[in-house]
Amino acid sequence: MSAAGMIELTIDGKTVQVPPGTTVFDAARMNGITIPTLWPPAEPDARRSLSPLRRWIPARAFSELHASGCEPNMKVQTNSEKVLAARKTLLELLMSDHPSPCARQENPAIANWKRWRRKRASARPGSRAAPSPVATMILRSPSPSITTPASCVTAAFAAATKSKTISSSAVWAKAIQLVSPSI
Amino acid sequence: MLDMALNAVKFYRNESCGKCVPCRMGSQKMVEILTRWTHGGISESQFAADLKLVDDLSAAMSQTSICGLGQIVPAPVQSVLKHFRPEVEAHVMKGQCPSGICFSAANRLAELPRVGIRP
Repeated sequence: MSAAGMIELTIDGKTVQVPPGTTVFDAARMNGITIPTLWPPAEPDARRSLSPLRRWIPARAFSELHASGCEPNMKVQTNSEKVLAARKTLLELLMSDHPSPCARQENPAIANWKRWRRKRASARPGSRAAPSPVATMILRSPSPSITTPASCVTAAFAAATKSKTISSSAVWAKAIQLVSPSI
Repeated sequence: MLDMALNAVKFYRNESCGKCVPCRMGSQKMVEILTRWTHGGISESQFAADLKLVDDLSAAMSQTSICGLGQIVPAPVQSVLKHFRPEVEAHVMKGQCPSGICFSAANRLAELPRVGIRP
């Protein structure tokens, strides 16, 4: 413990001070150390309610980085060779069974809303229809994810590389670049 | 020994809760690789690629799984590769099973369901 009840720990060789109860993931983020995630880094309550899958992905290599609290004199390494290699393997595992073309275009909530909007537009020309709450949530999802269809990274990568399937090597290269920049 | 390793990994795959990615998906991939090995007829280059894959997968699983089950999944495979490498190579390269299990008539027809373990 150092001054004013703050916890002192080292992240990637950088000594930082955080209030007790901070997770390692938040401590890294607060100090400008980026840990790539595939889930929206939202408020803590939302994070707890996310699926374990997404909660897991961030970079929980070797320790539950984001879930475990900071401890005094903890030494955290977020970009060692082993961590990057593990991240790459995990992304490969996730993408190996990812549907292609992605569910992004096939999400029932969005498809229903579009159908309803078309119906309504033909019945009452000029009216503006709002998407359903679920569709709104999906459409506005701010962060890349593999599990949220609207913001699925694979679909985005496929679009960026003008590829229809996620099995193209360009898409893979881009995805791996995201999680393991130096591999 | 290869069949034993496959059996153990199948057990772990069936018991995986599915919470974390390496255990849920890694154990399934491990089963697929080992099943392919027990069927034989793999080229040398493919076997080398498989070994590299198994090593990467084992490292990721044992280092990043949340609980002990995921961390132990690669152990049977690694230990068979370490202590019974000639047996594995006999399966893969020559299509022979030194214990007479993998290429038996029954096994050729279909994967036989084993007691207590779903195929």
